[in-house]
Amino acid sequence: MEAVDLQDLYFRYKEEESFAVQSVNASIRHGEWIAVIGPNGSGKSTLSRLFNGLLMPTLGDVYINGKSTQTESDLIAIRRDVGMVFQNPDHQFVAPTVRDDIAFGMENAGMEREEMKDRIAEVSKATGIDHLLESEPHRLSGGQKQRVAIAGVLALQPQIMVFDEATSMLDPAGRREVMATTKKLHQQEGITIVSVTHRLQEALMADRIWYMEEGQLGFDLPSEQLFEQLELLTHKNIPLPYVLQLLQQVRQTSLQGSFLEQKMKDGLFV
Amino acid sequence: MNIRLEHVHHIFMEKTPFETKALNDVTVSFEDGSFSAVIGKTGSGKSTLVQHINGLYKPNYGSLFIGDQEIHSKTKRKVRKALRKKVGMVFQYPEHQLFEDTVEKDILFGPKNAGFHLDDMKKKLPELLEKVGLDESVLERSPFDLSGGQMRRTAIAGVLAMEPDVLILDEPTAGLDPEGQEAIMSLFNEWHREKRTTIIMITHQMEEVSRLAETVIVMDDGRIQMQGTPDEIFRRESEVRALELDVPERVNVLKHIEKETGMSFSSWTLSPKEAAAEMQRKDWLDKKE
Repeated sequence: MEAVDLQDLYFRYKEEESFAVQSVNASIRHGEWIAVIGPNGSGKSTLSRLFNGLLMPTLGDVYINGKSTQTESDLIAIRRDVGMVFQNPDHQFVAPTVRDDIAFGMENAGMEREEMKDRIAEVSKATGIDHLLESEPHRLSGGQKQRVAIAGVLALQPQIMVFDEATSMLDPAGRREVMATTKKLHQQEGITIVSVTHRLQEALMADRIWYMEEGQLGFDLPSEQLFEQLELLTHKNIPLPYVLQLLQQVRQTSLQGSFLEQKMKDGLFV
Repeated sequence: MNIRLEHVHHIFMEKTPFETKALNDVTVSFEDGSFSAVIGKTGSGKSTLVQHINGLYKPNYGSLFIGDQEIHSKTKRKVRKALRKKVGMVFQYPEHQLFEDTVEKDILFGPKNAGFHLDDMKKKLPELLEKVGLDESVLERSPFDLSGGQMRRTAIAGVLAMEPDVLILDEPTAGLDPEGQEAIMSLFNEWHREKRTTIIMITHQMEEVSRLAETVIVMDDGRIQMQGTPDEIFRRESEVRALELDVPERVNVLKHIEKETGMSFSSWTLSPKEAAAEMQRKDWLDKKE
């Protein structure tokens, strides 16, 4: 069974409006990392909100582990399986300390105190914030805030995590922290990841890249293939970051650029 | 037009408990036809600095020269207002200032206010629209029906219509997606190449600095802390980082390649093409089969 299965998916916010997401058919395997890219207004954020029933399909279905988000009795399980991290780090805190904030979701789920303690220790370590547990969330840097938000989601042990432009309001250092954390969750915890982003440098760390265009899935490619098809991006008017432009130029010489590709996959230039 | 600030101080709420020195003894020149970037963290004084150049503020102490015009603490409002004909300013999020019912009226509003001849302006519209990347069909539309990127181009067109001698840009690409950022940057790059307008740009995008600016001015706490070419500035990485600023992506990439291979680039602000050429000359990467 696929982690995520999108079948003939359509969504519009209002009946008189055009579809923000249309005729999307795609699936995500367990443990895969998908990056969703595309210009503003292409429907990529809307798509990500359909994954856990924050938005419901207008037509078609979203299946998480084989369960449709439209089956009400399955929705609680789906929301437990799909964790979301949003763009603005300041909009995601409810408690006075980091520890309480991570505990909040688990308390809501009615978890035993001992179990909660164990999980807080575990997720704060995985996200590198174990030294910040007594801090006030609002005093943290942007990158730390996002890692606390990730820890809070992770504590509920989701199988799938959706990052909706989670790095776009961060400075470069914060961006690198969050991307390193994401990579770790993917590699070490085996979590299925969907990251919506504007930055190609981040997208290339994923296994596959979905390009959204006017609500549709413009292309769906393994990221290695995208390295070979940079023209595909230039045709779509997507500006290449410096390192990819350099790769393009290097390829026109007698040299090859696999060294740069590897560094990008490792997330060195995010 | 040459611009020179000499020992400019700007103090908000002077002689009150809330007194803040926004500019503290700033001396700096911008050469005619140059493209400069002003960088610094929030509150470092960048915006206050450039708002002296278009006459919004006057110094409490010291003076500045815009061409032949001197501005000091006693300069009349009328003189400063006249500056706005020569110095165009694109504010942050300029699309928030659109208000007319058509794009054409909005573009012409600024020039009309500054006393430009409307008929002359209208004649220039087609060329101007092409330069900013808007289709003529938008002229009769409401600016509020446009996309964010198009709205920004409309607001920019209103400033460019006056063909100012000096163009001040306050974070012109903030809040746009990469496509939008690239379009706006190419627009100003082209404009500069063609008209040799003196451009002063405030930005947080270091990649834009290394790509476009000839000179970089780094501000902190109301003072100018560093000044030089992008390469000179970003070679002083630890100083730049100490001011809570980052270095451009290209500097990170080129430095990394240097570290891995032992080669050294002639500059850390090389274009991708230049960098690839230097790599080929040094011949260090794996050869193609």
